[in-house]
Amino acid sequence: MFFFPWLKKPKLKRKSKAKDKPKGISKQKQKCPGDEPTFAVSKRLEKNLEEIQHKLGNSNDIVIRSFLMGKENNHKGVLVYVDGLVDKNMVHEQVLKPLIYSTDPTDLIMHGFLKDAFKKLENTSILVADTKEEKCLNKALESVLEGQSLVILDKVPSAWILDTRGWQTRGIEESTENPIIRGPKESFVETLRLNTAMIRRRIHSPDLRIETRVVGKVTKTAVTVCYIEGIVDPNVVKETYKRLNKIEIDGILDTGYLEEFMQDHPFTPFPTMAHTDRPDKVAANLLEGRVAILVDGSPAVLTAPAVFMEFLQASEDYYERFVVSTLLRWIRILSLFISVSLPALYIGVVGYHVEMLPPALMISIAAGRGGTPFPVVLEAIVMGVSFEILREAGLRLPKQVGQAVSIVGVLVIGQAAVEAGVISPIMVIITALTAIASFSIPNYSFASAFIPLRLILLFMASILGVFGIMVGLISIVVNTVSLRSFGVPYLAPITPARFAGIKDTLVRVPWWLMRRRPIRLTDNEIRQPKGQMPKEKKGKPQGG
Amino acid sequence: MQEKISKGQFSKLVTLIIISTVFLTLPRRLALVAQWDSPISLVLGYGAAWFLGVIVIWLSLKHPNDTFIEYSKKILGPYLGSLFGIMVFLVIMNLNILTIRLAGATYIAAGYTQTPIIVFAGATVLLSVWILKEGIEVLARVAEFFYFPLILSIAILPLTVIDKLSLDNLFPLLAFGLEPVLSGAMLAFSIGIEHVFLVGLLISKIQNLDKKVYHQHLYGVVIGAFIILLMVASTIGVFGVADIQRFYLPPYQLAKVVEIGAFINGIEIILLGIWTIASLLEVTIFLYISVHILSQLIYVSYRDIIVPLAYLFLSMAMAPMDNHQVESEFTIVGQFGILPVALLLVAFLVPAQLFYQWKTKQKLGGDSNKEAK
Amino acid sequence: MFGVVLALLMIASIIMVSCWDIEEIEDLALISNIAFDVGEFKEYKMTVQILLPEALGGAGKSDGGSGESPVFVINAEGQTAFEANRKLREYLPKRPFYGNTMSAIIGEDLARQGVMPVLNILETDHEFRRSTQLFLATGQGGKVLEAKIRVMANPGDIPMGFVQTLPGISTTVTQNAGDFISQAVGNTMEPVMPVIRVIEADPEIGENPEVRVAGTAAFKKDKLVGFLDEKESGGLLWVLGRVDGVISFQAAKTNESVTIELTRSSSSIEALIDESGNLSVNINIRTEGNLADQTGFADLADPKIRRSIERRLAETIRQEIKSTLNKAQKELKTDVFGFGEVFFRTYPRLWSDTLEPQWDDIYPYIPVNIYVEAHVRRTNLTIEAPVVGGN
Repeated sequence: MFFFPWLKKPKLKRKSKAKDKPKGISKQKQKCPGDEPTFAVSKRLEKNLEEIQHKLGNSNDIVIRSFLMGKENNHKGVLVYVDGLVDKNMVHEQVLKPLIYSTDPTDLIMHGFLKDAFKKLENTSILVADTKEEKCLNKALESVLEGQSLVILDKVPSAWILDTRGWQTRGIEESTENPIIRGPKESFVETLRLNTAMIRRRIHSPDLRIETRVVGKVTKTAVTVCYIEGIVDPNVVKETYKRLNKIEIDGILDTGYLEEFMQDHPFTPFPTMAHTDRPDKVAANLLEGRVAILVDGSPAVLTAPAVFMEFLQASEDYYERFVVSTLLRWIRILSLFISVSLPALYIGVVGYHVEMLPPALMISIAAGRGGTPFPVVLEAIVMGVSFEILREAGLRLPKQVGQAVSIVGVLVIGQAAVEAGVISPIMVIITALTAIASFSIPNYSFASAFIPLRLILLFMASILGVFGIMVGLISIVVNTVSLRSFGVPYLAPITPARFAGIKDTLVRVPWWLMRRRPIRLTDNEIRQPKGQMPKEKKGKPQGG
Repeated sequence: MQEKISKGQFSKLVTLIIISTVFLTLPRRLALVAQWDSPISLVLGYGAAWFLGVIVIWLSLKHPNDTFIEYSKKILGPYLGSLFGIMVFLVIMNLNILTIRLAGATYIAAGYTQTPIIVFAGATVLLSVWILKEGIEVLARVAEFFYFPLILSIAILPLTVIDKLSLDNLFPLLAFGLEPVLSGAMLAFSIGIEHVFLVGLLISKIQNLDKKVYHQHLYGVVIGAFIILLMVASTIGVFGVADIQRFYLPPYQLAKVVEIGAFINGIEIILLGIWTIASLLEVTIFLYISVHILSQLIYVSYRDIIVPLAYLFLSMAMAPMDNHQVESEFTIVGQFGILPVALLLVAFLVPAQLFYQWKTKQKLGGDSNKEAK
Repeated sequence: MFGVVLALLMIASIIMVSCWDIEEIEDLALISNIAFDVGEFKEYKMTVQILLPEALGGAGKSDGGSGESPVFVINAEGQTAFEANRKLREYLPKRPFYGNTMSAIIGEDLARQGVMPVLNILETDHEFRRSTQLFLATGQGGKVLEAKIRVMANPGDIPMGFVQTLPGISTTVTQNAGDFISQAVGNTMEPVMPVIRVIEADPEIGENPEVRVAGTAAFKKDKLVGFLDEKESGGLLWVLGRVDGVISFQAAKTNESVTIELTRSSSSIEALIDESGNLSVNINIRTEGNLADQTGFADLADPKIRRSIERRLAETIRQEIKSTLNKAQKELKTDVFGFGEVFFRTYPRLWSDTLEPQWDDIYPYIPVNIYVEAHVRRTNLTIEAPVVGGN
């Protein structure tokens, strides 16, 4: 796959806006800003080379290639790049070759008309599209470490930064987090520029803003913030930048790091920023007024603000027909409820309120529990914990084996335990149902939030029966209701109730009915006009 | 307190306070007084309560940023206003204690025979304190969240016993003249006006305050009264008046007789779960009212007094340990509850408000528009 | 910090006291039916029928239904029903659990004495249900619980099974505890109960005792005053409007037997007071049925024959009701029909002021008029009966 022609010019080194920096350092041409002691490109090539060696050390993968150019082939120059990060072909054909073959007058340089020479060489010899002049050696070396090439000519106190990036990257594959049957199957890769390209491909509007920062003192990772201006709430964008700029850490490897620094409520199990590895989901979120945060090196993209109900939505809901999607949404809400409360309900009913069971069921349960040694509560906890162990083990095994191990493992072990008379059969059924229900939640980190909740409810049920379960549920609701994600209440379209939102969370009304954006993230609410329902053609009946 | 609630949340809170306080106990109290005319007297009583609510909303709209304690101080003068506030506080405190007690006692009667009552009452009060500390917005959101499941479940209960309903039990109506109807209506009225105090407090917290508040109030009262009516009518229809007078919690017995297809016959536990939510919301709302009244009477920030007040109420509710089911031991307001105080509210405040308006109009001369809205 | 410590202390204390109300289901003795009798040593004797789930075959154990009896009968005595219940624990290592108790059987002696003291517990205790079905046993109630019927794998289901099938033959009523108590406490209607008998098997053959449910026991308030046999029970059901069974009679001309299966019936009772203050009651019955069986060859397509059958049907119904009225109104003097109720609904003031205090005296002498409207609709699969003999 040839991505290299698609790589757009990365505005990585654009300085952050003046409002974010404490004092106005407007232009970079005067000094070389930065934390470390800076070094401007000097006129003497040897001095430059010395500094480069000093800074970069003896790493083998950094190639420093001197050459001679000019009419008489007597003007010295040096090319620096990192092997493995550059497109070698481009470096050879489009950088080195034209420079070495250039017969352009270096006499201009000799006579001191530097500006013209630089420009002329740039315009005529260097065949790379994205070029920049750089006067600070530090920044130049940072660019080299990102995969750009550095060309320094003798007697010229600036350097060229040439964008020759190209490295091996994972191909665009199907999403592993949210596989889908109908709809786009692309998922993000680890290269930031490719990811932003995927977003751009879906949103062609010029209002789509993609702005990049550098975070991380050692890793100097590029972090990109995307939003659609005019749809998004400017306060959210401001808040995002504020939180991003506050982060001081040595390295960012994944958006998960950012999430922990930026989230509103650090101690709750519920995620307040969503992450996904599918560009269509990110594009849909941007269209609703959210902000997307991408990190170079990670295919997981964060979107903020995030609300509870959005974790229960799958992309497929919007691509399939609305009747089916509505039904599936209800099933998902039901399975959410089951996965949290089924073991607790079982204990509450069987331990405290046996009269609630129909007589036949009571007989079966009593018969099944006849010889088992454990009390009900302990059984539930043991089965629950075993299931979590099996699930975690299944994740670490190779993909094909892993899925089978987790579910089948529970059932097989459960069956064996039942036959040995250790566990009652109904407990196995309950555990398996809970497990399967928890798999139907589209977002893995959201589903994991419910594991501690399940245990808490179990505990409450074992103390106080149905009253305990209700107290536990109410506590969860109160906790959830008081969360806010970037200013938006966490249970947004449900409470505070908003009809436009309920149209998209509890049911899925057809697209031609979704006139407003679901969550009040912005004032720009209306997204389509009325009267879009496709009309049936009334006319002659079919057939003779 | 910059927190604001929406009008829809206001309406839901009104409905919830109307339902939660009495849906378990009202059938018995009404049947004792009005017998077969209970449905009629219920409608009359709640209608009158709605009207009183409208008056309070009118009063509160004149002072859109004050709660009713603050503006009663303005209108009646500081001493009279504080006196009025203290009276209201005492009444609400009484209601609070009764509510906490009932919340716990229901569980004991329903099946938790050995658990001490303080576990239930204490857990409920703890949850209320937590919700209150988060603020009125969280309270409104929790109420909104549980609104539909609560209303639907309570409304479905009578539907499940339709086969046991015998319409004859509801008749004869008006058999013994108007006297039972009127005394029943008084009882229903005195219960229905509990929501009036909530209205007085909440109007100042609604965002986008406009005339639609009346509509929302109407919806709230109508839905609440309808649900209670369903409950009363179905309990009378299934059991007959004579039996209801003997039962402690008629709707709970109603849930006990539900038999769907000879298979499902344990619905009363679900009713217990519903009661958990309803009693919690009720305790929280009453606690909210008490806390705010007290905080405005003695000029203390309301967050500081939530915990002490809750603890005080809890201990007072736990005090009579002898008989779990006697409610009348510590009622300082008599059988008809807060009727006198609420009527006082109208009787004093309305003319006082009009007088106040007339006075300010005089003072400001031409600029009467400023205060009159 | 303090809050955390407090919370931990609370949780620890709650766990250590080990959750007051939790009960393992295998520690409960699941009781499917109970019976009350007059006790030999104390006032009341309570017999319980305990279900053994393992014998019914739960899953996971490969042997189930091993031929053991799935029920176990045991009794205890006490001064009140609740005390007798507690006394059971002297004989029973598990706690008796009444959440799924389906029926209660009252012994005859206890019924004559007054049944309310034992029924009180059914209403007050939160574990019992008001929908427990009541039966009156001739003789000892406890004996009924020992009966077994081969077709029911679980003898505990016997009474409930009867409750579900009996409405089809209208020779007895069904009654649950809640309605019984309401009627016994109120004074507009008197309660009844179905009668269950134990048929002692022939000791030589050695089969288990079996049961038969037929007839009704009539009560005045909560004391048993008499029995209505099958026909009289049918009449009672007619008046109450709960008939769903069959009726047989002789056809007019041919004296062949005809059996009608009744599909729909309804009744209404009217209470009338004329100007001179005389009370009377009208009973209006409307019913529909199928020609289910006949020993003759009556052809229903012929309108004359059909009308004749309908007339005979109406007449039979009238006779049934009359015989019931004779028994219940005149002989037993108990208002099981609910005439008082109808008077109350129609003339509430008059009822509470004048009639009710003297109802016991007035009731036996109220004239009753019975109007029956009967229709025979269908003939099932054949219109013309198969005639033997041919042309």
